[in-house]
Amino acid sequence: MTPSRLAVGLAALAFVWLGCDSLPGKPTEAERYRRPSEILDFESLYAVNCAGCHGSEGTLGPARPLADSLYLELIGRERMGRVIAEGVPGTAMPTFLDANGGTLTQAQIDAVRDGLFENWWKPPTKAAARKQLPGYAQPAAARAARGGDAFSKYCADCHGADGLGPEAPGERKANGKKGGAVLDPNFLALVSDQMLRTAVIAGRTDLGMPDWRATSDGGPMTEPEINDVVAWMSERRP
Amino acid sequence: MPGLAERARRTFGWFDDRLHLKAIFDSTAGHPIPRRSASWWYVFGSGTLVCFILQIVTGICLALVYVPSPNEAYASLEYLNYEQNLGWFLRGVHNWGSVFMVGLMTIHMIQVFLFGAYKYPRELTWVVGCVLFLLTLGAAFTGQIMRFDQDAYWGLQIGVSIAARIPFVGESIVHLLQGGPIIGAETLSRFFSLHVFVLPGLLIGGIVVHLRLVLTRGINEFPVEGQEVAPETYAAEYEELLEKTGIRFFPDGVDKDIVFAALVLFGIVGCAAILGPPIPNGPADPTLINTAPRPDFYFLSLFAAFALMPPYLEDFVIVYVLPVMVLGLFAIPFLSNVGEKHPRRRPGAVIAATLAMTTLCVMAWEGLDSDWSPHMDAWSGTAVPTHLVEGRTPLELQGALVLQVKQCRNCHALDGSGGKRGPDLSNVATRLTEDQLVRQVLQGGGNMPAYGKNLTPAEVTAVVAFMRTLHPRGQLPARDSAPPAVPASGTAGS
Repeated sequence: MTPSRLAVGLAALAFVWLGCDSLPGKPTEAERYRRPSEILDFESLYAVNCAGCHGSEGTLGPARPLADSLYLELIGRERMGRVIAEGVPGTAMPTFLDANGGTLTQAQIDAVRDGLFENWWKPPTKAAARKQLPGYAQPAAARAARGGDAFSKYCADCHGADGLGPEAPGERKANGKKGGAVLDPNFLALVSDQMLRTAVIAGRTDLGMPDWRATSDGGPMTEPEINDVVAWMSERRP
Repeated sequence: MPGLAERARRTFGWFDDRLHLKAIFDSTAGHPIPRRSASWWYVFGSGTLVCFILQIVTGICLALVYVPSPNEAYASLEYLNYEQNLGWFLRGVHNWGSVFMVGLMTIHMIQVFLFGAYKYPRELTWVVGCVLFLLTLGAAFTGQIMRFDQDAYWGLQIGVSIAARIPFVGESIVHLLQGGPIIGAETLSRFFSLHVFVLPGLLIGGIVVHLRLVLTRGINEFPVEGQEVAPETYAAEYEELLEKTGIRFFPDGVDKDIVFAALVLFGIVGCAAILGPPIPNGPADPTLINTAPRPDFYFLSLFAAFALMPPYLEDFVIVYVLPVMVLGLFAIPFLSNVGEKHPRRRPGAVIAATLAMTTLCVMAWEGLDSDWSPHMDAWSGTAVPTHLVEGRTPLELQGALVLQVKQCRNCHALDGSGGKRGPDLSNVATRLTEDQLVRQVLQGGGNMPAYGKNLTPAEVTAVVAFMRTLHPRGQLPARDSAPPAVPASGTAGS
């Protein structure tokens, strides 16, 4: 064999050898099986555990949107971790920590929590920071008796004076009522006071409900008004 | 000094003088065949043999790395896939080799059946072919066990469960196969020895007999319409055909087989390079419940048949139907071994083959879909389509949440995503009225469990409120055909 033929042969062999390594059939690390408890990347964990209720992009799910910087600011990292681990008893949010009967390890819950903040939390802008964020938890000192006034002032435009929303879907546009029945006894039976408070403060901007700063009345609600309206709604629960 | 060629000729001559190699080769590979039998229709048998040889070669290479122990088998597979240079490719070739082997063998059988090649005097060739077919399926099944992943584990469970249903000896067979009452340390060793020693050995023996029969009674002549097989005259007619149109298989009639063998090898290597080997889907650990095991394609139709048939039929099918089907396959040449061979004169055979293959393919498709299995993580992982969220009231949104959290989505799809065990709910409001929805949720029925005790009244109201919104734009939801005779309390005057 002449040296040139040998060189061509070796080059061809090297080409085949190197080429084989990048063939489409080669299994990738991403395809490699991992035990469910070993998965620690946020995207995979979110897609399997959270997307069903909170939406595949973190918005437009039946449950609260998580791709909502204001909400993440409100709840904070530590409390978010606790809610994922323990769930919210009496509501649709299940417990996820394996020790509590869930399916995720503590490390996975930490990964979900951190991923939520890394992906969807932005530091508040100066303007937003001026309007001080109300407290997350509902204080015991709220005065339900005054809540009705706050409801009429801030909520009734969309949700109806009686809080039962438009009577029929077609009515919504006709009378300008955009929101649904929030004083429906079945709805109130299924949600916690905290859910009501979070909705009042952070809104559901993905579905057109504004946060506490941009109500139909114009200005932001005061913290006592928020406390009162939540207490008032809670009292309407059968 | 003689040249290289001359020296090689002399060396071969020395051996040939003692071993008569040339005579053996001439009388086997050089056997006469009718000219028309050197047809593209007759390449599938040799194609199957090429696959088998490839399986032996790649199997030996795999055995250099594979560790047949329950604790290490899966790891050695992952080593081949991700660490060993081109180990994945070797696995791919072995896997696709088996797929091609089963596929080509099936085509070969269909061709033999349709060409009437099993008729006199080739009944035994057919019977040995059927044995080879069953042995090949056995090799495919045990090969799947070698992966010792989730598919292997549950495939094995189903395989031994089927064996356990055999009356009287079922338990002993299971014990023999598993090396104990449950899948344990010895089980993999037993299947390994079956896969690499017993079945290939039997296959080699069977192939020898199969080819010996081809030599003794000749390859089937190309069927001619109107030419009937009669045992009294067949041998003379075949001799006459060979005299008139006979050519030697090697070197005159082998060209198409060589081209086809190249195509088969190209196909196997191509599939391995592009589609790769099957990715092991988790170690054989029954505590991993997040799994949806499926057999390799050869057994998909059987998998679907057992999943879809009512449980009371299973014993009957295992004990009677499957053995009768296998016996029927063996009995074909004894039921009809004379008369017409051409498929155009045997419409019954064509219809039977078409029906059998259509049934197998449809069942395999069903097995691939396996709509009967719930999607166990759909409740938390399959998002509610956004257009079913927008414009909903708070109560309806809570209803959508109930639908997710109570795991309705594991069986019911929305817009095609989710489980398929129950009906898709995207248009459920057009089919069921509010009362019917409440009744269905509370009492179940039609394969759906009753959820009355698992849902609060508020949850039922919410989920029904959500489902009432599931109808196409412009199409009203279903409503009662007549107003209730007695107005419900609180709705007086309505």
